[in-house]
Amino acid sequence: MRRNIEKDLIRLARAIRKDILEMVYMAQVSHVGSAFSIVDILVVLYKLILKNSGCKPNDPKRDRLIFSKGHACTAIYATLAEMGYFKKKLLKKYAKNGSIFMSHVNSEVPGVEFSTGSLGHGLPVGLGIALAARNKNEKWKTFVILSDGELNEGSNWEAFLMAAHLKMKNLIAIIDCNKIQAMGFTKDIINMEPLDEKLKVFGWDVERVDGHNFQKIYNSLIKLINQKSEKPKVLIANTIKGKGISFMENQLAWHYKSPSDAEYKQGIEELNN
Amino acid sequence: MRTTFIEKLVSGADKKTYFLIGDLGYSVVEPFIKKHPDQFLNTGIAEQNMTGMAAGLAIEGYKVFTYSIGNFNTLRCLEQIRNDICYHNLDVNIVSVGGGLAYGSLGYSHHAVQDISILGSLPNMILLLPGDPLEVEFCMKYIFKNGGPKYLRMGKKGEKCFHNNVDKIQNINCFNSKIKSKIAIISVSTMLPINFEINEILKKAGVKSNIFSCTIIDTKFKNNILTKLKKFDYIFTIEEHINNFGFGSLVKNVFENENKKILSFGLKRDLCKLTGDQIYLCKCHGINPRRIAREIRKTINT
Repeated sequence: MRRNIEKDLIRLARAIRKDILEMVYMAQVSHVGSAFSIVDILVVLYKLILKNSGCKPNDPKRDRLIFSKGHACTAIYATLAEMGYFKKKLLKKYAKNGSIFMSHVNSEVPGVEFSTGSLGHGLPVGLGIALAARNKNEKWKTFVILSDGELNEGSNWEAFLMAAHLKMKNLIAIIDCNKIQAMGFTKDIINMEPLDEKLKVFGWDVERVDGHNFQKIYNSLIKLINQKSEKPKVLIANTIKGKGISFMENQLAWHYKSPSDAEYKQGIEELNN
Repeated sequence: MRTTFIEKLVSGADKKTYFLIGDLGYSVVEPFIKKHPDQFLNTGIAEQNMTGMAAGLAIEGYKVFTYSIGNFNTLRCLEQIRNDICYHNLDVNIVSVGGGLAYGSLGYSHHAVQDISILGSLPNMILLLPGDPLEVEFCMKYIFKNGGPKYLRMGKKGEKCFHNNVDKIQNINCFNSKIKSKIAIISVSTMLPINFEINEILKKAGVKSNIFSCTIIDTKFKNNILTKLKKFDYIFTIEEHINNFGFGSLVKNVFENENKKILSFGLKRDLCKLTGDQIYLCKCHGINPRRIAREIRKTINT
């Protein structure tokens, strides 16, 4: 990856994290940790992978991205704002009365393909979208972003089975493995590992990657997309919940907490450095 | 009814139609597979995934049908219907067979007796509740003409026809409008034959009644009910569905401020843990033409 591209990605990820922090601070709502873990992946997707544009959010030829971990909506709202899907000042309406910016991702927001919130919905919907594309001989791809805790939901496994059975090579799932869910560590609640082995056996092409390394995320996604096999693809991304702000990283509390004045200030300082 | 459904689905389908089944429909769905093999998928025994996929296909412009026995493609995947289909107002048509107690001896797991109240409370959802095969045809015309989420509730097969011309069917129908009476008996879905039986019993006892079926509950329901039933002093509703939470309560709500006697007949919420065929189980719940006729006479004589 060229140095100027990487610099651009770093700049964008920092801007998105600052937007997220400001949104949850102003609205005093939860899920900031879940948003921070997915930022670097979103940055690579929107800057380098997805064939879509803020200028034409309804372009029929665009790649579709379903954001199934809907509680981390601040990450996708901020990314879309930074990518020009709508004016950044609209983020100030996040979670405010009468706003379309719900605290679970809402498809009324330009660039959001589908509303989610209850976990385990995005992958079946993405599979339906990918099937529609294949039936119409369309070349665009469908991406679905899930969380590791979300995989507790059985509906995902129905879709994992069916997608492999249908040889949906145009479907790419990305699992944000931040290893923490609502009541603790995922490994202590329902251990999903070895996740890569499970999904390989289920008939998917699997890559596992450091979800905060732009170069590696990019390389893995390109490798998956270029696979010659008929299998659906999945990127398992090892991430850190709360990534980017020291006192939030790997802390269950930041699934719930919203920052105090002092925490907000310190967070912004850390992101600026 | 299901034969009419598949005939009309096959003939009405175009390249924008997609038909998903939840591994049910043996010796029913084959004509569709034969004619439109690329627009059919058996999604296996996995209704959550089927319903989510239906939403995904619909958001890309397909008119999608999901097909199963009444409880499976409604209750098992209720949240997918609510969040994925209804919230996004997608053109997904949930088609169920075995409405009410039609799968009698298969037991409680296979009875669809809460579907009208549960699906009827969802945003954008239109309920299609045919009482005979021609009403199924009418509902299929409605489906092909209109978008948005819809629920088509059918019986099984071999139902008698009470209409003779599909073009004369409306959302709410009167079968004997020439009879002048103060009593309207209105049924939904599979209760149309019982409605006719009750009419015969009452006729023999010298009581005239008008037979109605309500085929479609959509946004015009309140107006339609007012137009058709306002003139009656007595209204009796019949449904093969839990009483007080379904069709009868909808009708009562329409006339809540009017001086009418309205009585609803439906299934008890209490479980019947015995097995039996549809008629036997209906009787266990008090859905018995003689008993209902008796109750009607008691009501109009007090």
